[in-house]
Amino acid sequence: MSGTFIVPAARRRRVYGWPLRIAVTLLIAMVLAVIVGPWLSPHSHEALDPTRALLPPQFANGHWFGTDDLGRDLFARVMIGGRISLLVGVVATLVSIVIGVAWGATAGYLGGRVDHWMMRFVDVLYAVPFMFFVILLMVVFGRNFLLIFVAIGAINWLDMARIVRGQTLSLAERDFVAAARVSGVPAGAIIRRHIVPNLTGVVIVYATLTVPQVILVESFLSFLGLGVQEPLTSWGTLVHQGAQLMELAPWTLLFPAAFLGVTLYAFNFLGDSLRDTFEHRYRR
Amino acid sequence: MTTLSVRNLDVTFSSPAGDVAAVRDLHFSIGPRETLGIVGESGSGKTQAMLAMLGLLAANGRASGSVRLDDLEILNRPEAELRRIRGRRIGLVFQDPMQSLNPYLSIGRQLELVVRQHRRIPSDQRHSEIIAMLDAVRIPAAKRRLRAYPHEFSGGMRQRVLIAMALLSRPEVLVADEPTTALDVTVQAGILALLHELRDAFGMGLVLISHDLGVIAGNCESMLVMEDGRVVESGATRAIFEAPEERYTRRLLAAVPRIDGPGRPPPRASTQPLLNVDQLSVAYPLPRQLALQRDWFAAVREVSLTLAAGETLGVVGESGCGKSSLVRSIVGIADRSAGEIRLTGPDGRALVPGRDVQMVFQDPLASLNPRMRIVEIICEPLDVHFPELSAADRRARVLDMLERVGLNASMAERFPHEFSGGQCQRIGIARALVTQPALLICDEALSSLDVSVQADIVDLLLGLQDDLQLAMLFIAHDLAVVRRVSHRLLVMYLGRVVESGPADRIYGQPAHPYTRALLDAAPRPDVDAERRRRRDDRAIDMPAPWSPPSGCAYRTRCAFAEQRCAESVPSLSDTGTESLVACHRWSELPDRFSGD
Repeated sequence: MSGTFIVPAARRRRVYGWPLRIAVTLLIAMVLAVIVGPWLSPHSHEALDPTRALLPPQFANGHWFGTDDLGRDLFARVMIGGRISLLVGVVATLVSIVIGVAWGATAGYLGGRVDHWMMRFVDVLYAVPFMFFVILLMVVFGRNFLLIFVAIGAINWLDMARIVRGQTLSLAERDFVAAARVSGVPAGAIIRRHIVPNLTGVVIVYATLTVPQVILVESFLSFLGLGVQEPLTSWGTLVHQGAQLMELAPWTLLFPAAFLGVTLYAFNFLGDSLRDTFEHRYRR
Repeated sequence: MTTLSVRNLDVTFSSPAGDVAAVRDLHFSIGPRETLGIVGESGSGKTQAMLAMLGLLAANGRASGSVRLDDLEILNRPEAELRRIRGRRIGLVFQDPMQSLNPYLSIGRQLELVVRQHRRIPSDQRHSEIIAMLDAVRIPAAKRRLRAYPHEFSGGMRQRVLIAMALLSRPEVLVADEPTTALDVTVQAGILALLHELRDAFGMGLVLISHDLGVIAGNCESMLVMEDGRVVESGATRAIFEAPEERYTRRLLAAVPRIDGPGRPPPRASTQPLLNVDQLSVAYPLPRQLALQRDWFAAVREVSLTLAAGETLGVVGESGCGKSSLVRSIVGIADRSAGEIRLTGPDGRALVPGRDVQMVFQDPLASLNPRMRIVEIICEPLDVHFPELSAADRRARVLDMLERVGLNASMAERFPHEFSGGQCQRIGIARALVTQPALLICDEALSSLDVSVQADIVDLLLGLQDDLQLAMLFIAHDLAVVRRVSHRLLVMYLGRVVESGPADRIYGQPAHPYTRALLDAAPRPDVDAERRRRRDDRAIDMPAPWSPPSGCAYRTRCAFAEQRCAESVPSLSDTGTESLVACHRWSELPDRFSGD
């Protein structure tokens, strides 16, 4: 008996100790960088200068990451792009968490007919083509930065709702939920106090997978001209542009790709470690 | 012949907080046709000792000492060598037969894999050996059942399959770790008898690990008592039961509830029933098959009962008899399909489920939300039913309740995982009593606790019942515990009441054949009583609860069944001794002990 709980705790602490610290440090550094970075750079992210097109990285002239094909400073653009990417990633994920958890937990807990129709609605939304949906939004509301959050969040909550519902079904069978029902706690309060807090582990893991996914979706939208508008930019857009200049000026790909990759890695590790912490803190 | 001998076995787990010793200096040896019992409470190291012997310790565990199979040292052998020894020379049977079988493979296939792993024999011979082994473990119609999957078997049958699996390679020693803990008493008796018989037939040594002293008493020639990884006492079973030398052993023996012990004195006279259940039926919809009509599974059929303040009604029966559905319907978390439940307070007002009716659950830890603090957990019923109280008043009541159940008010801010099983159950009781209910329902509230903890919780419950004049509905499968707490008894089988009446009467003179079977099957911590027990290793299966037999549901297992039992359902009739029994032949049955 004793061995079964000693093992995971010990193993986790050993393996996840330092990657968690590295991941958190990296993410904090990244957030600070994209906030402070644009002010540090002597150049603006939007100033065009054809005479300085495709300069390699150099410290002396202040183009620390070099310039792109239009002569804009890459360092400033990576920093500005990071602001957009992180913001889209985090905000859209929050939107999908809020809707997805509320929807999935309600359907899973109430069960029966309510569950059936709520989940059929999710199935119907799955069948709506994403691009069609986004273009529709753009047409109706015009181009709007906020709309990107809404559009991405509105698609991603479907996965979240399904995962949360599955987890809720098993939670609803647990004795502490039965105890609350015996005490006459109303359904809303049971979902809020007993179901949702116990979903934390699964939601966190899924959310950390969603953030990178959203960052990639955003870059795809930007590429189609439906996302961020030039001269504003995002990491996804920068990587896309860099890929086209790869042979001519590899730095235009390498710098944004490195930032994007490191961030995605850090999010994934953070998710794993957080899940372990959450799952084990409340267990013997 | 082979002997397994263990010398100086130490098991240590390394953890971030330092090394934890799970087993210290374990000695024993066991020869063919001998049974050694290892008894101890949870955490005493009995399971870890077995795992260490077989090289199955978790990655952070270390074992030292010596484990010999005749002259072969097997402790800390390389995995490849151990794999040949495990299964072939030492067989293993675990507690949970469902988790030990692969749900995606048929029984025949799983057994075949075992044979192929250990012996090279042609496939037709393999086949006939498997069938012979299933016959040996008394699985009826073995040949046909080879294609069946684990979920098609009952718990007892699955355990028989596992035993067959362990024996296929003809081990010299069989280790059974709590082999009957997950099973009903009637099934348990059959499995234990089977193990005993197979031990002799195959000339094996048998190591039986159990927390149940009754199981040990009847089946083991010698035994070890373990506490905190140490053997506190060892020797012949009879000697230990009759004259335990160590204080711990004496305490353990004293804590075991006795089915032949004294019952409870009658409660202070209370005439008005608080709970009145009349012809209650509970039914669940079955998954829709091809038919358009939905089929229903009647978990509870026309059950009537009454219960007064200060009184305990015990409800007993095997798993699947509908006892949980009955109480869940009373507290209002399962729908009733017919019948009436009347809850009336002493002053004539209707009682409110949740405030006046509360419940304590089986698994103490699982019934507490892991994300909530103790104070929040206990306070929740107050939040719902006494919103007019101020937060400070509610908190004061919670802290007061914590003290009453024997915990410290300073523990209020902690989380459930910081408490032991017994403490968690006290918290569950505090939550149930904080609204000052009139009726408390205990659904197997003691089943998952160690005996010594169990005894404390029983004392706590009985004390609280007397103080608060609680009416208690006490559900359990352990008839000995029920005896200690119940004034009256209700015996259920497949959704129906088969016998009810004063507990003393039913324990003394059970009228229904099913009640007799239940009482006879319950193990007692008494060597002579257990040795006298007629060993019946037949596999008796309860019929599927959703398709009970016609007439008397018990007739398929009843030794006294005759034609009319299949034709009509016996009604509950008065036996003239304040009790009711549902059996056509109750008055014609022979005396209970005449068969022995």
